Amino acid sequence: MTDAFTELLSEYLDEELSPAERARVERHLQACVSCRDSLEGLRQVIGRAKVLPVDVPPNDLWPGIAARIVGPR
Amino acid sequence: MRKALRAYEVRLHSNLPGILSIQPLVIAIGKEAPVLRPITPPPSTRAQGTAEIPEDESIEVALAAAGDSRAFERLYRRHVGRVHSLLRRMVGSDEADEATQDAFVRAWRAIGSFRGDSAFGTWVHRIAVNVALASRRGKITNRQRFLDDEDFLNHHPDRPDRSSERLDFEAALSTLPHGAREVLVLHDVEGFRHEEIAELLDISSGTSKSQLHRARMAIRKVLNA
Ligand SMILES: [Zn+2]
Repeated sequence: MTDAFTELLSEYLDEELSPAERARVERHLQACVSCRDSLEGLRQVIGRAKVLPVDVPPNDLWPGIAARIVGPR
Repeated sequence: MRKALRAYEVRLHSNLPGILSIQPLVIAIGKEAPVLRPITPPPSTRAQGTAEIPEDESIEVALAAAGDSRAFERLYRRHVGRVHSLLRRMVGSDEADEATQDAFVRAWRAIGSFRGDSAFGTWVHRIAVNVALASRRGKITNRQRFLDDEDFLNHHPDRPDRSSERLDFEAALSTLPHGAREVLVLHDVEGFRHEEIAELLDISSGTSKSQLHRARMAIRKVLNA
């Protein structure tokens, strides 16, 4: 279930709403289970995006680079 | 309290200090890249600590600029993880290796113009972002990349990318329409602001915000499925 307030939840979490909008969203959140649920889900997505690991590629890509950078630039 | 927490999160999250003000990059990527203009100075929080503050690499950079490919290889080894991770998320596993090589070849060609006013890692990372965006350009129009509400709902996701063991978040990411994926990676993973993303992707800030919201909602749905 989404409503007009659901659309504002990302901006709410990113602190991009005006104080007035923010207050309206907060009032709505107190009354709307569905938006509270969405908010929590969005929070989790944001949290996981921030901690994605850095992985070294499984294949060594250097030989392919080295082959292309020999000789004058 | 919330503000303080937020600032802390931003610091943790941001390791691309002042990325848009790097002038040498404009030279580095030449005509293939969008024209990059500094937009606004990044909040000071973005310039602050990261777990991986690079050690001084100016010697390697100078050697590489003078043509020493072994010095450049050392730079490559130190930074390939972040570059490849970014590109895998932006263009998908299938194209990530080649895109990574392209990014480092471009960096090699342009390193003479790198002035060291940012970290080398930041600079090469920015080149990688442009490689990712260039790989989409021409193949597909913005109209197709950025689905409006209805199309977004009807979008048949690509099969989740199962090449990695990590089937969760990254697989969910790979199901998003390209434009939404780019916005989410740039904003939530890389810490770019909407104004910067709008400039990079040639969309409005409003579109960037709405695409981000849809992308997050879609990921949440996939993860909960
Ligand atoms: Zn609601």
